[in-house]
Amino acid sequence: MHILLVEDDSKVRNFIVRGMRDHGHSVTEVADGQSGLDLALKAGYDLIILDRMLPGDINGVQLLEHVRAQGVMTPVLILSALTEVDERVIGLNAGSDDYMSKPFAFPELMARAEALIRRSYAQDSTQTRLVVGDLEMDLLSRSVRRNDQKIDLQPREFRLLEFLMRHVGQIVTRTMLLERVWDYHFDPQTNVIDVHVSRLRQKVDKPFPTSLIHTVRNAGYVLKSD
Amino acid sequence: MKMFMTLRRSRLLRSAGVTFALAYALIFVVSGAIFLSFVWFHAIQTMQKSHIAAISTDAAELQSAWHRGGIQQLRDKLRERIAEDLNRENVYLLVDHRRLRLVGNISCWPIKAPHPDTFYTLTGNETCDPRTIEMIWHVFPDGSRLIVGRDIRSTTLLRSVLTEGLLWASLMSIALAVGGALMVRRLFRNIINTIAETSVAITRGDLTQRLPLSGNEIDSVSRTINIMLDRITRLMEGIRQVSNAIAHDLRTPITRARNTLEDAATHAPSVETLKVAVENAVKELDDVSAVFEALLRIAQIESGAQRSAFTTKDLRMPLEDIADLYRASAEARQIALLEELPDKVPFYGDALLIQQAVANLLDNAIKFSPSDTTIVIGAKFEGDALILYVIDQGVGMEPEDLKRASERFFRADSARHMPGTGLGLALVHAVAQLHDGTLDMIQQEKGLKIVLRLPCQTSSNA
Repeated sequence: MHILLVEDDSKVRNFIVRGMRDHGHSVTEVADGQSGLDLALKAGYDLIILDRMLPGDINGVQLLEHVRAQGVMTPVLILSALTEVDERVIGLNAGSDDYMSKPFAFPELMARAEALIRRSYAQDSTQTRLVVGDLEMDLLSRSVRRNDQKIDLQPREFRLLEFLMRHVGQIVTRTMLLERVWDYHFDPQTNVIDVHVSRLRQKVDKPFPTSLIHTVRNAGYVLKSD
Repeated sequence: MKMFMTLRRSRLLRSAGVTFALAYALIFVVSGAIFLSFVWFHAIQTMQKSHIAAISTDAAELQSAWHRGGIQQLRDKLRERIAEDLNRENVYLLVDHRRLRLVGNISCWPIKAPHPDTFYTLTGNETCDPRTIEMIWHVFPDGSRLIVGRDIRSTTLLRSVLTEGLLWASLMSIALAVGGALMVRRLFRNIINTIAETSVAITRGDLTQRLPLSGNEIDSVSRTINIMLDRITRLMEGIRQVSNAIAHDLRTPITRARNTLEDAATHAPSVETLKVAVENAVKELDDVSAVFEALLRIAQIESGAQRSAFTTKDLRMPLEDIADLYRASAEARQIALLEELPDKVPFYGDALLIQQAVANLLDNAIKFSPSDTTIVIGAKFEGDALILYVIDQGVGMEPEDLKRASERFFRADSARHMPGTGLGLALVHAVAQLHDGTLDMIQQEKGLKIVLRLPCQTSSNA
């Protein structure tokens, strides 16, 4: 995948570029808003990672507004030290698809970047069934079966599994789960998410010979059938 | 007018002390002037009246003498009167219809007394007599005329004595006024100086000083200032505490990270150990980040800037969500988490902050509850306030600790090694204050009950 990175701090840039390339993505890096805008408008990227505080005349939010005004719908992930709720709202209203704060853990950035990239290639949400290996989820009847055995899930557990299934094969971080499944936007400090995932595993994985839900160290979880 | 204006602006006249003093002086002088004038006029009036009364009585008697025995009787009476008048106080003149002098002790008829039966006051220049007199004249049916009068020299004397006396009195009163004004100004300055001096000591850093209370009206100002000083002292004490706490809670993970990295750099036997050391250091730095974020958040909430984000929302869903989130952790430790929520919980405030506050409370409750206990999270409306409560059956807190629990970084000794930033309750407290509410922690028989009381506001009266 082709990623455009607009970030003025060279250490942060190098860090991101190296990590992305390790994952097989190609990255174009620029350090100011004007160059970023010129490249973004060419619309040849699968994702733009955008810093907000940039030197020169154009800052990150202005860049984003220009890009969206020109009808370019490339997914944008804002990565910024401006972390307050008001700032996130500004970023999201300007047209970004996700907003991450600095300091950040690379696995978090990777997981969210990949989720955004794949989302633009994903099927639309008029699906009625999700299937991963022998796990089937019927979105209309809100029921789940694995290996043809019915699994009883509480509403929240269902939503958690649905999220994992919609992101099959992608790493999903605890923060992403907190935000998307619980609509909770701050760090609870303790491992509340882990407990929920482990309860889900008790129902979805434990009674069966193979596990679908895997823990990824220092990153989060991934649902996949190998 | 211009000069007056420039005068007004001069420092002297802007002084409050001078204003008070001048006001005092003015009132004193004006009161004195009114008083003295009253005395002056009244005295003169009384004297005047007594003269007129005497003259009237005398004139009446003489007129009845004429009516009884004609002009002869009158002439006799007059001669009698004049003879008795040893002090030469009285003035009489009787002339006949031809203006010929018949009896009297003045020599000619005054010109400046045109009308009969009217009182006139005439000086020596206006009569043929050196005296100043008050007189009245009457025409009898036979054409004869009679002047009856009195020497009002005593009145004149009294008037000049009084005037002189009153002038001296005025001068004295002005002197007293000035003296009194200076005293008033000094008194005023003393009071202000006490405040000013104490204030200077305070600005120089001596926060232990307080304004003395002297039982007068200034006390209400002094009292308010003292309360302000108490508050400032408390805040400064708070900052000191926080600085110390920050020093510990932030420097500790930074120190650990640094030591780990330095040690690994010099002593790590293998790349693997190095990797592990680095990962540990990263975790410590994440801890530092978490503390910063939490501190920032609390500071923002306390600054009140968040009030602009207030909206009316039904809090039932957010509260249920948060209970749901923590229920799994609770049940993993065999703790039951029950909800006591009404169907609707409409509230004007910041739903996200309230949610986070409740989350912190649940987090604490779970941390400090042993297994096989119950935690209850509830909401209810009491009067015009929303009450949010979390009740646990855990280890509770010592009474002294209860009071300090919402200070930043405060950890009771029993909790010193629990995970977390020690800022959880500080945030709950800040959220309570932002909503003009209160946070109370009540020791139960077993466990703790934490109550958030948030007054209901509407967007109009917020």
